[in-house]
Amino acid sequence: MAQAKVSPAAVFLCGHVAAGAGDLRGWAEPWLPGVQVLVLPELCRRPDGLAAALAETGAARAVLGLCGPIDAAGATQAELRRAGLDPLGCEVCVLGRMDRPASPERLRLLLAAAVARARAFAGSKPEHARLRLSARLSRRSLFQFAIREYQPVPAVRSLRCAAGQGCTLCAAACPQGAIRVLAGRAVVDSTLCKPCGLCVAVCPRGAIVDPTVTPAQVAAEVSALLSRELTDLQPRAVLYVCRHDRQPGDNGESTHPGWLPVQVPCVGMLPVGWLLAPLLLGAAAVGVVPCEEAGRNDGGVAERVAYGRELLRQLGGRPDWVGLTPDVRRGPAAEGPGPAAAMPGRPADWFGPGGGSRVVLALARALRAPAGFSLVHAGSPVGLVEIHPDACTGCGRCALSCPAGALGFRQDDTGVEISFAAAACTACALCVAACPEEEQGAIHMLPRTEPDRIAAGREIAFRTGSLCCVACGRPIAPGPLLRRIAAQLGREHPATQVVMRYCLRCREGRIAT
Amino acid sequence: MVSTAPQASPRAASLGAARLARMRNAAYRILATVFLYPEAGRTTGLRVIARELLEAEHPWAAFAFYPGWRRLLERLADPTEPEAAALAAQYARLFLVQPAAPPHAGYYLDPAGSAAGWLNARLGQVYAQSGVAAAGEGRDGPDFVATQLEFMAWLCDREERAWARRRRGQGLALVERQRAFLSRYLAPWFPLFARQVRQAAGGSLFATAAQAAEAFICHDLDLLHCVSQGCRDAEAAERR
Repeated sequence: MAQAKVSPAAVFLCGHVAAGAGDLRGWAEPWLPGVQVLVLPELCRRPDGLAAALAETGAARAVLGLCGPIDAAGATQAELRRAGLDPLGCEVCVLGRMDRPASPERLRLLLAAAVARARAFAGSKPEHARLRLSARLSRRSLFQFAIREYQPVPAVRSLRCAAGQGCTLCAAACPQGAIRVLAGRAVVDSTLCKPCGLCVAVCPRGAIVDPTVTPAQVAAEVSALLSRELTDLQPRAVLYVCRHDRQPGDNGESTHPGWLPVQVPCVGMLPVGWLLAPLLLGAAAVGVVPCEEAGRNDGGVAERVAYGRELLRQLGGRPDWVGLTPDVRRGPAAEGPGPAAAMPGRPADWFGPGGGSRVVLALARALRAPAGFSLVHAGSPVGLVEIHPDACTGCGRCALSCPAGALGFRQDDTGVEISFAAAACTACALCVAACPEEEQGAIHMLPRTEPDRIAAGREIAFRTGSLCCVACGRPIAPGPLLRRIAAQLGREHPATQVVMRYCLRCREGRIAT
Repeated sequence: MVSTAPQASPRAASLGAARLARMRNAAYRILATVFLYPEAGRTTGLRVIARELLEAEHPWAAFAFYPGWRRLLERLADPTEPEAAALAAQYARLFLVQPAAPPHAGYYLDPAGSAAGWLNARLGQVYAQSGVAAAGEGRDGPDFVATQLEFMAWLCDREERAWARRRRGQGLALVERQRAFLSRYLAPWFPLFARQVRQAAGGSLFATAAQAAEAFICHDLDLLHCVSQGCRDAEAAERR
């Protein structure tokens, strides 16, 4: 089988890391093919020379291994641009303080994960970079200002966006009110956006993209962190942390090397798939560390963590495989379920849109869930839709409004059919809101997890025949729909009862006469 | 790459407001000229300017639009690029005769054509309020892409003079005027235009120019917002 081509990457270490990092270059050669490891002594403070060094390596991707948070982000981004690289695709990896260097195994894992993430970067567009100027402009400094850095912000891919169908999930999820739906398109106002990623996670189509936290990147990073080929470090657990917050260990507290951090814009964005997928990749546990902002508006992550714990408990696993604010001073106490047996399409599928249902299914199989297993929980990543055959009119508006494609609508001369695929449902309930017969109880959605239904694929949820024209025999519309209209209008307009029996063409003739 | 230290001290290139306005003026003029009919003198002039900009040390790399901008300069400076005659033929196919990518705002902002006249009238008013008028008529009128880019260049020139004379209020007013013009009359349609140019002639100089201009306009809107917001914050702080 041909090996996938990997982009050449360059890792630049600052002198402080290099001094305490052991033989990272020697280690990288066999384990990170196509990666060159170089040292730029003052990289953490001054990025001068980075562009020239990059040009010499011919690298298409860059990773900066620093002793602490990056100091000159704007200047570093400028150097990367001079070298022809997209600054948003460069990974900055804080490998440890000089006075407390991390264990060699941990360094290798963090480095490998950063390389994997950089290689998974798919590029960015102009609307993804938001300018931040330094400090506050004053009467004097108004005449002088500096570019501090460019921050990544999400942007909408119009061709994938379902706003035209009435979807407003992203706008509803945004705590800043930075997303508006205008003329059938969702638009992110980058001036209001505080990149938290909630919109990215909630979109069932992956139409909102933050180029620095794509499913492919997170999947690559987590896979690298948990790879058993790279080191023997055990146990290993994934710790999701907010990018903008201080990291565990920054204040001097010790952190067990087994907790491997994965930065996301805000942990409030974490969908169930990202929470549970690391367990399938061999993590002993998954922890989530909310920042202060997530504490005030956590985007529902606490509920999703609670769901994960309850799911694991009912499947016979241990609820402490997933948790909020774990004690990172100690190693992960639990042994996870172990890597999942080979399944097609993982792990990127687990981290992408619709990954929640795939992860749940994989976990259910790994833990041998009993037949008929069912869990109703507000944090469920999937839902079950049921259509009441006596109340539904077959108008199809539920399917039209479903952004995930879980509901399908098919109409032909014989009638209409509404289908439902549990695997695609994200429990958004837009179908219920769109149903004109909701008050009649025509459609229900429950946040219910049933692995058997997820695995069953698409099923017919409603079927009805069409009423045909009494004159020419052509199908007019679904029978229940016509009967409903007749029932609503019939008393006021008795002629409706007669007209409804004819198709449009025959009706015109009848009305004329 | 994202800064993980919210309070990190900035070490980026520092630019004066006047110099920045001058740089933006130059960029808008170059972009406007690229979208004018490629006469021999014009293309030669662009080639000379592009070579000078490529050779000179300048802080363009500090800006996010730099990659597309550099690609454009490299193509403009490249002696192997098509000469004016060949470019003119390409220009005609793309923008003139049954254009694949009509270079007018009205085509994108009002496809039905009901308000194109209104749009041109409104743009004419905007130009007149600033003391200028579109030199061309009809096809090269107020909503023509080069006219709008040239107007932005003109506003940047006025802004630079204001900063150079330390007329802060005037400078800020011009920043706001540019921001309003970009957000209402140029930014809403330029990405659509750029996409059509790319679809119609992906490897052409005009596609490179459209991509560079799209990135520049997107960035400029962001930059003007930052400057405007920063000034409001500064004024509020001074009042306290």
